[in-house]
Amino acid sequence: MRMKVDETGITELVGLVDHVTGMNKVAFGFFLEDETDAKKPLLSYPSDDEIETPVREMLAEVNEIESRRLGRPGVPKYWKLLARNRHYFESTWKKHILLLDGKGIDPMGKLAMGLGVSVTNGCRYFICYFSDALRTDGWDDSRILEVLGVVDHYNSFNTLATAMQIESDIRPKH
Amino acid sequence: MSTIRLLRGDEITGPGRELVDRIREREKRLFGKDDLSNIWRAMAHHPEYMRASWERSRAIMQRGKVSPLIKEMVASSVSIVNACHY
Repeated sequence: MRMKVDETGITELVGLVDHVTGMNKVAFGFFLEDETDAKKPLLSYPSDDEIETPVREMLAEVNEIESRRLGRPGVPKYWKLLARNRHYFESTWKKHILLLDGKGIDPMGKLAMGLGVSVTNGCRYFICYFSDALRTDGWDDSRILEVLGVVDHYNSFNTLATAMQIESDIRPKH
Repeated sequence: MSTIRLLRGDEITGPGRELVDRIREREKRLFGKDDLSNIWRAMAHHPEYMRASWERSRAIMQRGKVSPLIKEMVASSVSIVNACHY
Protein backbone atom coordinates (compact mmCIF):
# COMPACT_ATOMS: atom_id res chain seq x y z
CA MET A 1 0.00 0.00 0.00
CA ARG A 2 1.67 3.20 -1.10
CA MET A 3 -1.09 5.72 -0.45
CA LYS A 4 -0.84 8.71 1.82
CA VAL A 5 -3.15 7.07 4.35
CA ASP A 6 -2.14 6.72 8.02
CA GLU A 7 -2.36 3.58 10.17
CA THR A 8 -5.92 4.37 11.27
CA GLY A 9 -6.94 4.83 7.65
CA ILE A 10 -5.36 1.51 6.65
CA THR A 11 -7.15 -0.25 9.52
CA GLU A 12 -10.39 1.38 8.39
CA LEU A 13 -9.77 0.24 4.81
CA VAL A 14 -9.14 -3.37 5.89
CA GLY A 15 -12.13 -3.19 8.25
CA LEU A 16 -14.37 -2.08 5.42
CA VAL A 17 -13.21 -4.98 3.23
CA ASP A 18 -13.89 -7.39 6.10
CA HIS A 19 -17.33 -5.85 6.69
CA VAL A 20 -18.43 -5.76 3.04
CA THR A 21 -17.20 -9.31 2.42
CA GLY A 22 -19.26 -10.54 5.37
CA MET A 23 -22.34 -8.69 4.13
CA ASN A 24 -21.78 -10.04 0.61
CA LYS A 25 -21.85 -13.61 1.94
CA VAL A 26 -24.99 -13.04 3.98
CA ALA A 27 -26.75 -11.41 1.01
CA PHE A 28 -25.99 -14.66 -0.87
CA GLY A 29 -27.34 -16.59 2.07
CA PHE A 30 -30.53 -14.53 2.03
CA PHE A 31 -30.85 -15.08 -1.79
CA LEU A 32 -31.08 -11.30 -2.18
CA GLU A 33 -30.51 -10.00 -5.69
CA ASP A 34 -31.55 -6.36 -5.54
CA GLU A 35 -34.16 -4.14 -3.92
CA THR A 36 -36.74 -4.67 -6.68
CA ASP A 37 -36.34 -8.43 -6.82
CA ALA A 38 -39.69 -10.09 -6.10
CA LYS A 39 -38.26 -13.54 -5.34
CA LYS A 40 -38.72 -14.91 -1.84
CA PRO A 41 -35.59 -14.63 0.31
CA LEU A 42 -34.31 -17.48 2.47
CA LEU A 43 -36.05 -16.04 5.54
CA SER A 44 -39.38 -14.27 5.86
CA TYR A 45 -39.43 -10.58 6.73
CA PRO A 46 -40.24 -10.15 10.43
CA SER A 47 -43.62 -8.72 11.30
CA ASP A 48 -43.80 -5.69 13.61
CA ASP A 49 -44.49 -7.81 16.68
CA GLU A 50 -41.44 -9.97 15.91
CA ILE A 51 -39.16 -6.92 16.07
CA GLU A 52 -37.98 -5.76 19.49
CA THR A 53 -38.61 -2.10 20.34
CA PRO A 54 -34.94 -0.98 20.30
CA VAL A 55 -34.59 -2.51 16.83
CA ARG A 56 -37.72 -0.67 15.63
CA GLU A 57 -36.13 2.57 16.79
CA MET A 58 -32.89 1.74 15.01
CA LEU A 59 -34.79 0.87 11.84
CA ALA A 60 -36.00 4.48 11.78
CA GLU A 61 -32.35 5.53 11.77
CA VAL A 62 -31.57 2.96 9.04
CA ASN A 63 -34.43 4.40 7.00
CA GLU A 64 -33.13 7.94 7.35
CA ILE A 65 -29.46 7.17 6.60
CA GLU A 66 -29.99 4.61 3.85
CA SER A 67 -32.69 6.66 2.10
CA ARG A 68 -30.23 9.53 1.92
CA ARG A 69 -27.36 7.28 0.85
CA LEU A 70 -29.28 5.41 -1.84
CA GLY A 71 -31.44 8.29 -3.05
CA ARG A 72 -34.73 6.45 -2.53
CA PRO A 73 -36.97 5.99 0.48
CA GLY A 74 -37.19 2.84 2.57
CA VAL A 75 -35.21 0.37 4.65
CA PRO A 76 -33.15 -1.94 2.39
CA LYS A 77 -34.25 -5.58 2.43
CA TYR A 78 -30.91 -6.64 3.88
CA TRP A 79 -31.54 -4.68 7.10
CA LYS A 80 -35.19 -5.79 7.28
CA LEU A 81 -34.10 -9.42 7.25
CA LEU A 82 -31.42 -8.85 9.86
CA ALA A 83 -33.91 -7.08 12.16
CA ARG A 84 -35.23 -10.43 13.42
CA ASN A 85 -32.11 -10.81 15.57
CA ARG A 86 -31.60 -7.76 17.75
CA HIS A 87 -27.93 -8.26 18.70
CA TYR A 88 -26.80 -9.29 15.24
CA PHE A 89 -28.69 -6.39 13.67
CA GLU A 90 -27.46 -3.75 16.14
CA SER A 91 -23.81 -4.77 15.99
CA THR A 92 -23.82 -4.99 12.18
CA TRP A 93 -25.57 -1.66 11.69
CA LYS A 94 -23.24 0.10 14.15
CA LYS A 95 -20.21 -1.33 12.34
CA HIS A 96 -21.72 -0.33 9.00
CA ILE A 97 -22.21 3.33 9.85
CA LEU A 98 -18.91 3.50 11.73
CA LEU A 99 -16.98 2.25 8.71
CA LEU A 100 -18.97 3.96 5.96
CA ASP A 101 -19.86 7.24 7.64
CA GLY A 102 -17.06 7.70 10.18
CA LYS A 103 -14.45 10.40 9.75
CA GLY A 104 -11.56 8.72 8.10
CA ILE A 105 -10.65 8.01 4.53
CA ASP A 106 -12.49 9.64 1.62
CA PRO A 107 -16.22 8.69 1.77
CA MET A 108 -16.36 8.29 -2.03
CA GLY A 109 -13.35 6.00 -1.79
CA LYS A 110 -15.19 3.86 0.73
CA LEU A 111 -18.18 3.44 -1.57
CA ALA A 112 -15.87 2.65 -4.50
CA MET A 113 -14.11 0.05 -2.34
CA GLY A 114 -17.47 -1.44 -1.36
CA LEU A 115 -18.28 -1.73 -5.05
CA GLY A 116 -14.88 -3.27 -5.85
CA VAL A 117 -15.18 -5.84 -3.06
CA SER A 118 -18.76 -6.74 -4.03
CA VAL A 119 -17.83 -7.18 -7.69
CA THR A 120 -14.86 -9.36 -6.70
CA ASN A 121 -17.14 -11.44 -4.47
CA GLY A 122 -19.78 -11.55 -7.25
CA CYS A 123 -22.52 -10.17 -4.97
CA ARG A 124 -25.23 -8.58 -7.11
CA TYR A 125 -27.17 -7.13 -4.17
CA PHE A 126 -24.24 -5.08 -2.85
CA ILE A 127 -23.00 -4.20 -6.35
CA CYS A 128 -26.41 -2.49 -6.71
CA TYR A 129 -26.17 -0.98 -3.21
CA PHE A 130 -22.75 0.62 -3.66
CA SER A 131 -23.26 1.73 -7.26
CA ASP A 132 -26.60 3.33 -6.27
CA ALA A 133 -24.84 5.14 -3.41
CA LEU A 134 -22.13 6.40 -5.79
CA ARG A 135 -24.74 7.56 -8.31
CA THR A 136 -26.61 9.40 -5.54
CA ASP A 137 -23.35 11.22 -4.86
CA GLY A 138 -23.15 12.25 -8.50
CA TRP A 139 -21.01 9.51 -10.02
CA ASP A 140 -21.81 8.71 -13.65
CA ASP A 141 -21.32 5.54 -15.70
CA SER A 142 -17.84 6.54 -16.80
CA ARG A 143 -16.58 6.76 -13.19
CA ILE A 144 -18.19 3.47 -12.25
CA LEU A 145 -16.56 1.86 -15.28
CA GLU A 146 -13.19 3.21 -14.11
CA VAL A 147 -13.68 1.40 -10.80
CA LEU A 148 -14.60 -1.79 -12.67
CA GLY A 149 -11.40 -1.36 -14.69
CA VAL A 150 -9.36 -1.32 -11.46
CA VAL A 151 -11.24 -4.41 -10.22
CA ASP A 152 -10.48 -6.16 -13.51
CA HIS A 153 -6.82 -5.14 -13.52
CA TYR A 154 -6.13 -6.15 -9.92
CA ASN A 155 -8.03 -9.43 -10.11
CA SER A 156 -5.84 -10.12 -13.11
CA PHE A 157 -2.56 -9.10 -11.40
CA ASN A 158 -3.51 -10.98 -8.24
CA THR A 159 -4.08 -14.13 -10.31
CA LEU A 160 -0.69 -13.79 -11.96
CA ALA A 161 1.14 -13.12 -8.67
CA THR A 162 -0.58 -16.07 -6.97
CA ALA A 163 -0.14 -18.46 -9.91
CA MET A 164 3.57 -17.69 -10.12
CA GLN A 165 3.90 -17.48 -6.32
CA ILE A 166 5.78 -14.25 -6.65
CA GLU A 167 7.06 -13.00 -3.32
CA SER A 168 6.40 -9.39 -2.50
CA ASP A 169 9.47 -7.20 -2.70
CA ILE A 170 7.63 -4.00 -1.83
CA ARG A 171 7.84 -3.39 1.90
CA PRO A 172 5.38 -1.29 3.89
CA LYS A 173 6.68 2.20 4.58
CA HIS A 174 6.86 2.21 8.39
CA MET B 1 9.78 -19.39 -4.11
CA SER B 2 8.25 -18.37 -7.42
CA THR B 3 7.22 -21.01 -9.95
CA ILE B 4 9.14 -19.17 -12.64
CA ARG B 5 12.69 -17.85 -12.48
CA LEU B 6 12.69 -14.11 -12.00
CA LEU B 7 14.96 -12.40 -14.49
CA ARG B 8 17.58 -10.02 -13.18
CA GLY B 9 17.49 -6.52 -14.62
CA ASP B 10 20.72 -7.07 -16.57
CA GLU B 11 19.32 -10.25 -18.17
CA ILE B 12 16.50 -8.35 -19.84
CA THR B 13 17.59 -7.40 -23.32
CA GLY B 14 15.85 -6.99 -26.66
CA PRO B 15 12.31 -5.61 -27.00
CA GLY B 16 11.62 -5.44 -23.24
CA ARG B 17 14.73 -3.44 -22.31
CA GLU B 18 13.47 0.09 -22.90
CA LEU B 19 10.18 -0.63 -21.14
CA VAL B 20 11.93 -2.13 -18.13
CA ASP B 21 13.97 1.07 -17.77
CA ARG B 22 10.75 3.12 -17.80
CA ILE B 23 9.09 0.86 -15.25
CA ARG B 24 12.16 1.01 -13.01
CA GLU B 25 12.20 4.79 -13.19
CA ARG B 26 8.55 4.97 -12.17
CA GLU B 27 8.97 2.48 -9.34
CA LYS B 28 11.94 4.42 -8.00
CA ARG B 29 9.72 7.48 -7.84
CA LEU B 30 6.78 5.63 -6.26
CA PHE B 31 8.43 3.15 -3.92
CA GLY B 32 11.96 4.55 -3.64
CA LYS B 33 13.41 1.20 -4.72
CA ASP B 34 16.22 0.66 -7.21
CA ASP B 35 15.39 -2.87 -8.38
CA LEU B 36 12.65 -3.85 -10.76
CA SER B 37 9.65 -5.33 -8.88
CA ASN B 38 9.34 -9.10 -8.93
CA ILE B 39 6.08 -9.11 -10.88
CA TRP B 40 7.77 -7.37 -13.85
CA ARG B 41 10.82 -9.64 -13.53
CA ALA B 42 8.45 -12.59 -14.02
CA MET B 43 6.56 -10.99 -16.92
CA ALA B 44 9.79 -10.00 -18.66
CA HIS B 45 10.04 -13.58 -20.02
CA HIS B 46 7.30 -12.47 -22.43
CA PRO B 47 8.04 -8.85 -23.42
CA GLU B 48 4.82 -8.35 -25.44
CA TYR B 49 2.72 -9.53 -22.49
CA MET B 50 4.70 -7.27 -20.15
CA ARG B 51 4.10 -4.30 -22.44
CA ALA B 52 0.36 -5.01 -22.76
CA SER B 53 0.05 -5.33 -18.96
CA TRP B 54 2.06 -2.17 -18.29
CA GLU B 55 0.09 -0.11 -20.80
CA ARG B 56 -3.20 -1.37 -19.37
CA SER B 57 -2.01 -0.63 -15.86
CA ARG B 58 -1.15 2.95 -16.82
CA ALA B 59 -4.43 3.42 -18.72
CA ILE B 60 -6.57 2.12 -15.87
CA MET B 61 -4.73 3.57 -12.89
CA GLN B 62 -3.54 6.91 -14.24
CA ARG B 63 -6.22 8.10 -16.66
CA GLY B 64 -9.79 9.21 -16.04
CA LYS B 65 -11.84 11.19 -13.53
CA VAL B 66 -11.55 8.94 -10.47
CA SER B 67 -8.61 10.00 -8.31
CA PRO B 68 -5.50 7.77 -8.20
CA LEU B 69 -5.95 7.53 -4.41
CA ILE B 70 -9.44 6.05 -4.73
CA LYS B 71 -8.14 3.66 -7.39
CA GLU B 72 -5.35 2.55 -5.06
CA MET B 73 -7.91 1.96 -2.31
CA VAL B 74 -10.04 -0.19 -4.63
CA ALA B 75 -6.93 -2.06 -5.80
CA SER B 76 -5.90 -2.78 -2.19
CA SER B 77 -9.43 -3.96 -1.33
CA VAL B 78 -9.52 -6.37 -4.27
CA SER B 79 -6.09 -7.74 -3.31
CA ILE B 80 -7.24 -8.28 0.29
CA VAL B 81 -10.36 -10.18 -0.86
CA ASN B 82 -8.16 -12.34 -3.08
CA ALA B 83 -5.69 -12.87 -0.20
CA CYS B 84 -2.91 -11.81 -2.53
CA HIS B 85 0.20 -11.12 -0.45
CA TYR B 86 2.04 -9.53 -3.32
